[in-house]
Amino acid sequence: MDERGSVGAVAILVVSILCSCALGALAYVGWTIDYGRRVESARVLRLSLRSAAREVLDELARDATPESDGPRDSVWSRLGPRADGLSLVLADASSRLNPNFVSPELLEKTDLRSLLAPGSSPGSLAAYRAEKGLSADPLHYAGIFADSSLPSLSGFGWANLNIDDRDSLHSLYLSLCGDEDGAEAFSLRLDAARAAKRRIGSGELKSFLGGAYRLAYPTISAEAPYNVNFASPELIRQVLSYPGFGIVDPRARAEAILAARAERDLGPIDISALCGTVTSGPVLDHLGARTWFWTLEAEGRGRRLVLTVAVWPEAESRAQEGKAKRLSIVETRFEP
Amino acid sequence: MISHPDEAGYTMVEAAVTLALLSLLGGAIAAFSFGGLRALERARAASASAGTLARMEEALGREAGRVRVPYWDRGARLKILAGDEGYASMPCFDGVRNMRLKLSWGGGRFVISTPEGSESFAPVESVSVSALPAPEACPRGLEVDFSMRGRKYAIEAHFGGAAIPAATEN
Repeated sequence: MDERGSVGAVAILVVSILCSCALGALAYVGWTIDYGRRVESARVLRLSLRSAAREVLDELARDATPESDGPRDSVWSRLGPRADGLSLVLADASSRLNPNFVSPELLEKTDLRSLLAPGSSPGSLAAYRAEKGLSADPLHYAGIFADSSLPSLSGFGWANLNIDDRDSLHSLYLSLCGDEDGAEAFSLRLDAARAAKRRIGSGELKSFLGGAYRLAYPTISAEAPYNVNFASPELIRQVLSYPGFGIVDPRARAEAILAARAERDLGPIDISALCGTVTSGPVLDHLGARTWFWTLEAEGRGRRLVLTVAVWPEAESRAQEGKAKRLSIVETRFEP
Repeated sequence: MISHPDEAGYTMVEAAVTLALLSLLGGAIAAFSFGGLRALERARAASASAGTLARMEEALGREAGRVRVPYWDRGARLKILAGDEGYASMPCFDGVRNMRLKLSWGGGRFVISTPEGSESFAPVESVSVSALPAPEACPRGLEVDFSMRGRKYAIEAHFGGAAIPAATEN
């Protein structure tokens, strides 16, 4: 027996085992480092997307014309593709029919009723809200509204005391304040104001809501939900055609608004003039010049950040004090 | 045949010296090998911890991001049942009030459960979960403190949606 050879084989075996262990361990460490790098790179991308979105939000808050929001505001110059490969898109998220708050009367007395699914009625929407609750996702209302109508809906918006559904306002008050007795008293006050055809202005909100103001405002407020600078032509036409508003030739008024907004951003005075109404009134409780919720998308390198941002209503008084608009991010989503 | 006087055998001293040298050499090789294996094991364990930590942070961030509390819902709360075998639950998963993100821990495992399935992480010990507070609104996220192989870690994960703050917080 050649003992030199056998010693060599044992040594090779030991070295091979050690090498296999080392290679296995190195491969595992390598995989972990690679995974860590991918996680880190995703984290850096998330930060870049957030930072790009923050720049747009800062510009949105510094709006030089806080009384109206339109596509000619300075924030729009910050959008689109950027040199760093990211791209930004801003969209009005609240100037659409809000299935959470819309009153059955508006659906009953206008062609907005056609947005409902076959077999649904404004009454069934109210019953559905009472049973299933409210949701920020229009898909929640699939089955009540036609599938093709879902893109025309938005679950984001401030509820307007003067025009929105009484029962929705009651649920909203309860969610915001968590006080059942208070919600009952609130609904009774609302019924009394509506029976007396008393409009509650923005300046009266504090006294109307009383102690609940701090929690209920601005989700319950008195702001027009639809910005004529962004709302769909059909929504503007249908709102103007509501018989209770007494607008003469609503279709012509709607076309005048659409023609005017193609030339300039419209403000509250423009809307009154184009609608042929006084500077406050039921139609101006629906149509305004402010956008209350925005969707901002920042996209790049296969990932997308989607933010939904609420704008607090007191922008004009803040502007007079030299303050920027107050924004609250209400939803943050990374896709994929 | 040539005869060598030395071939008859080694002296006791030679054999002792040889055995001593071989023992020292063998001991050194064994120590080196075991040291190397221990180092590799430590590297593998550290790497495994880092891997588990990264996966857990990624999963927690992803699933917490799907908790979207509607902006009007101030009643959504993170419910926590603390203990060695604990449980935490948050409503509004995917924006739906009665769908929940659930976290559970015990027996060295930490489990993230959604209506779509569960993901488990180990070894995760001494877990404590707390809400990231937002004044007078629902929590804006959660923090998980835990230990893994004797080291302490904390992961913060933010929810994808939160109730609007109260009007006076400006």
